[in-house]
Amino acid sequence: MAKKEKSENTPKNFEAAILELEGLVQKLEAGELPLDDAMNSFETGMRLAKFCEDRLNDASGRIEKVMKDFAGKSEVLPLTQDELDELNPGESHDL
Amino acid sequence: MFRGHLRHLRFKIENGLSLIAHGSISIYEPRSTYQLLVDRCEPDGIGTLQLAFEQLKTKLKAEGLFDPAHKRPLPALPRTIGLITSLSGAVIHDMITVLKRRYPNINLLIHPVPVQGEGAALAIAGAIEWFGQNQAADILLVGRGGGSMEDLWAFNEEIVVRAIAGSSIPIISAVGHETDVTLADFAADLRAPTPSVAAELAVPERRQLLLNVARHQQRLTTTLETQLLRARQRLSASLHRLPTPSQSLDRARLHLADLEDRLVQSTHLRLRDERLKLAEIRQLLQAPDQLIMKAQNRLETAGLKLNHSLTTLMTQMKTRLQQAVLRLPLLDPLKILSRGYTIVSHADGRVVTRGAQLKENEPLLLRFADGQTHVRVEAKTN
Repeated sequence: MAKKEKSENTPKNFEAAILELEGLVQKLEAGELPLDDAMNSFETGMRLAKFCEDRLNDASGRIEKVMKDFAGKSEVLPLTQDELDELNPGESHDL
Repeated sequence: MFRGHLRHLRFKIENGLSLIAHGSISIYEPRSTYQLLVDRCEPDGIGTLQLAFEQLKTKLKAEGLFDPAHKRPLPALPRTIGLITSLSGAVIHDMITVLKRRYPNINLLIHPVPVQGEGAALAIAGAIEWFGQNQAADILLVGRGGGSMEDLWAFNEEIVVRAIAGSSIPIISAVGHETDVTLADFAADLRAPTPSVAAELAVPERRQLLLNVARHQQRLTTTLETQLLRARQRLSASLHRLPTPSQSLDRARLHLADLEDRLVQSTHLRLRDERLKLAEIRQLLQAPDQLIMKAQNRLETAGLKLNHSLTTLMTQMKTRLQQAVLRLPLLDPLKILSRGYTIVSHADGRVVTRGAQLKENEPLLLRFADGQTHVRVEAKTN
């Protein structure tokens, strides 16, 4: 039940959220909504905007690599500082 | 051509193909037949690789591996990008630079692979499968920098093309320069002309998206504020048109004041009545006190009178007693005896007052003033 409610309130993904947001803005700007509906739309819109922002801030920006250990099993490791210096110019030195 | 040599042939020998072959000629003596033992051969006119490319392309296309219907859409906002390429060289550097510039907080997961030479195709296919099995990224960038057809050959190998076509994660291929075309490009969901472009296609510009969201937010706010302002104006306009309530308020106030007065007055009247009643009751309550007082007075008076009469009585009694006491010595019989009189009494004490009472020989007691004597009657003489 709670899950269903959540799926109704939370957009499926970023694309869906921004599309819905754009639609709400257009409807509001058309100026034909009664005030109550307009305020509801506004709240929904702000929530969607927040969701979009959250999604845009979601990833943490980490850089990792997949390496095979001695047994041939793959594991995910962070890059060494040397590798970062080599590969990620934005963080260590200017281009 | 012996099997050992055939295995190293990159293309398939087909009917009608014109070949340039290298080898030796042998003669089978019993039958007098010649045999051409080819150890190397290449197609006449086009290169070996080109032929192999065309042959595999035809084969895989027939299988539907390059069908546009198989191509998956790229996620609009990937969180993690998988990079399958060599750790050394400019390609990965360029990709990371572009990715980080467009979307600074994107996560990158690099699966280093050799991109040419022995084992490269197997490693690339293995990396694609690893990402799929672990669902470790939202988009894969597979590629390498430019080079000869020989250098790029791993991306034309069947195992790589099949891995790309079968990947559960959308793939952008970026092999060589714009003019280099590989079978990997055909199988990928999106072909990028260069690795940098692949990076651009993989992620949106975060700054643009944030701006877009902010702009929409701003428009929401502005529109709603405008609508609220209009609504307020309409409300205040309507309020002005409403009949002023002050008149009816005044009426109500007067009515209230009147009610108040009446209430106060009736209360006063009632209070006065009650006070009168109370006074009456108080008087009634005081009456028994007076009764008691009167009774007390009477009682006191009676007591005084009684006292007085008692005193009088006692005085009279005292007087009478004194007179009696004064008369008493005159009556003392002993005083008479001293004058010679004797009291005669019977033996039992009774006083003899008459001679007739006496009997002969009766003992008698004679009392004198100074004592008594027993005697006997000798004879009666009447």
